[in-house]
Amino acid sequence: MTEEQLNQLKSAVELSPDNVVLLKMYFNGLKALHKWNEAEEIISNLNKLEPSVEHQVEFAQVLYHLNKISQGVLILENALASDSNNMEAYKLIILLYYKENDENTAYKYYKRLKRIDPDFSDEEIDELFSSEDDNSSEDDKIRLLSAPEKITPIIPLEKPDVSFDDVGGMQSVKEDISMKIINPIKHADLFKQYGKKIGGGILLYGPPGCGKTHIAKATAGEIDSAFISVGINEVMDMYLGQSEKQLHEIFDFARNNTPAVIFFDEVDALGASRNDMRGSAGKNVINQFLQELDGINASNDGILVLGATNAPWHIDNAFKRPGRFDRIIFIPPPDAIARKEILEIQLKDKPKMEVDIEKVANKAVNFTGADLKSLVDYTIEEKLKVILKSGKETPIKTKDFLSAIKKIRPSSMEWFETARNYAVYSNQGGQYDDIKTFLNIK
Amino acid sequence: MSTISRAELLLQQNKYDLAEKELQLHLAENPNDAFSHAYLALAYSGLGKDQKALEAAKQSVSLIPDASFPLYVLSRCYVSIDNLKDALATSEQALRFAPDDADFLCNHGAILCDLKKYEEAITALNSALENDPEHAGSKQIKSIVLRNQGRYKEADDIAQEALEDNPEDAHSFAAKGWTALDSGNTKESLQHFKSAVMIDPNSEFAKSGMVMALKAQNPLFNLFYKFHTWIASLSPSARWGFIIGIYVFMRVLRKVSETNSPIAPVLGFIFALYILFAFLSWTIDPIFNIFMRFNQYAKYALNRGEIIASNIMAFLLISAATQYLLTFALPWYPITGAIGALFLTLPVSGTFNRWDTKKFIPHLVYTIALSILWVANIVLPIAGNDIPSLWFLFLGGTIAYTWISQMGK
Repeated sequence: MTEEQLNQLKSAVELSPDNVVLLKMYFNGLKALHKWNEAEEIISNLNKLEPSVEHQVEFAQVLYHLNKISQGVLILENALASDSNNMEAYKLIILLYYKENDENTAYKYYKRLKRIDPDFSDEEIDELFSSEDDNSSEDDKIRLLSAPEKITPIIPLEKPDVSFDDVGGMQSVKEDISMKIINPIKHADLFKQYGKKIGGGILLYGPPGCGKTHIAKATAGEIDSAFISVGINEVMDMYLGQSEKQLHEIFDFARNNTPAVIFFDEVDALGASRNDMRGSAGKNVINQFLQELDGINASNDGILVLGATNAPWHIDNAFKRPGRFDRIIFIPPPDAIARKEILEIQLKDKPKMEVDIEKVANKAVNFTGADLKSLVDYTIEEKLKVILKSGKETPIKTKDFLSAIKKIRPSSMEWFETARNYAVYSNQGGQYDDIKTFLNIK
Repeated sequence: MSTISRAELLLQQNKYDLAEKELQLHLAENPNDAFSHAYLALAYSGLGKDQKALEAAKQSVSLIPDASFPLYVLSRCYVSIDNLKDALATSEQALRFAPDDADFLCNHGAILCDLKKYEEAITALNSALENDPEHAGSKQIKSIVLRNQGRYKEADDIAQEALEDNPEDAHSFAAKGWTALDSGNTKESLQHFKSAVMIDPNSEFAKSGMVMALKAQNPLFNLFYKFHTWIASLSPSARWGFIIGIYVFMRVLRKVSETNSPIAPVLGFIFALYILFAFLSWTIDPIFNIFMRFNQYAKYALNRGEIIASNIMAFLLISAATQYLLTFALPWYPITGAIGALFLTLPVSGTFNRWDTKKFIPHLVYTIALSILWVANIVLPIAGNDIPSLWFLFLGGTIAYTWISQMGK
């Protein structure tokens, strides 16, 4: 089906809107070209003109693609009431419930389907339930899925064994975090006496690869708290599944395990400017995130929310208000001390070195951890090329590193170009003063 | 489906690198998924990898030649590499399949605007707005088209309408700024540009407007800006008519001044003014950028091309002045050094005016050739080997540049 043919069909349908055959052909064309919005309208008309289980299933399929989960479920339940053995309807209702993260109900339907046809096999459906222990009985599986604790830890919980001692350099950042986070939790009673609440949100921002995640983990390690890490993939799943419930469960889980640090990596995805998310499916999740940060329905005492982002400018200002991410900390590229420590680790098991690491570290200004790794790789490769050509094995020297530094552009440079513009032109309330100081802009 | 949705979300959030990874993983298993190739092209575009974007878009179209979306993406990729001819043709194909899509119509309008086909652009943008009355992109482009036509009131109205839909729209603020600037309200324009860069400090459209508005605070620059705006608003034939007319008029004036001695000084003065005006109309922009380098607010808004151009201009102007003084101190020092430096400002300005376009490299090559001639015209006379034809070649080449580069506009 080409778009041209589709347009011809559209014109034909407009001329005879009650022609079921034409409508079916047009619907199939729309489906083939993934035009789900138009397809919804057509299948809805078709179902009105000629109600059937087949049309209801087709309708639900379109709604699945449009993320209209509850409407799809309703239609399929009606379809199954008319034809309780319709495999396609079962398959679709399982997928719909799964998409909504209601694994329990999805599994119940899966069980009913298996009862009707024990040999039923479908790659997509089987994959959903294959991770469960195959030795357990089906009742066990339902019980497992029904237990609330089974649903909640979708996000891995860990007790980090790193502390600030494991973070090289970054002295001022560590002091900042100690004053703002660690002391209030370590000396909770003192803070209570002075009426200061413990917890809140902290936003760590800076160029990629500068250790934001590492410092977040170390913070959790310092206060010996649970660490719940939520990455971009989980956030995207929340958007796609329209699952603000999942977000609520993460916060509830933390509330039951205080003190706890919830770490949102790439938090700008979750706290995106609602302007950027105009018309998008993610608005509910964003609003839910705001509610959870405010602790409207439950206390957030003892919960620390850490967010890391490369793009703080994409975060809605609503998230930066008091009580939410009210403390914003800039994580710059590693300083000279940190660079030296990183290089020492990188060069540890490489014997053919006669290198003044401190000198190299001092020269590698603005190099991130990843940049330093590629610096080492590049220098070794270049040296090997020379050795293979000359046949003379000479050690890698400081000057080899220094000439390599000149050829590698630090990956943070691009980030700073963007950040500089925000610091100069969009620095309301001095929120990017740290960048200005770092870049020496007056 | 889920990969596409994920990629769409990531693209919407400007997370192009993550979208690229997501799509590449998906394409490793589904190499013939045309829509994923199209989304990959958008991710590459966002990352500034224009050539890769073009390849991905072409791949998408080859897999599903009858679908509109891949064609639309391909058209956008052609726009990114400044190939407006293919961009227009592909956009027309996309619209054949989906004539009512506001995004496609908006892209079509933008291409027509770049091709200076303003009436056709307005038609496309009006269709887009009929189908989606709140389509921000179409309102923004329509405002630009109307401004280019000199319809400032309408241009301002449509930008205002876009701002009412979304008060945080940097592009519409900038559009209002440009309209205010062109209609002579420099102070008002600066306010709009400041609002625009505050919302989106990475918008080149807003930043270049802000620099222009800051320069236009100076009456001399403002005069030239108005002249440029007026020239740009003329049709190509009217523009040529004006340029040739002035040239012929000045030739006549010069002839008269040679024969009619009593009014010769006055005519000579008018002729000198014309030369100065013609020279400044070429070079005033990069010359003023030298001053912008000392302005705390403007210096970060200049792009790399403007910074390099202002450096070269400063060098040439200082070099002209120094070499002129040298001719007094050292009688053997050739005047060609000072005059040549001034002449060279013309091709340098014209070349960097095309920064980030595919015409930049040929212009740069031409300018480098002229620069070599300029150096030769200094070094050879000092070495006692004066070749006059080389000097005429340099002068002729520079003047020819000003005429040839006008033809490209």
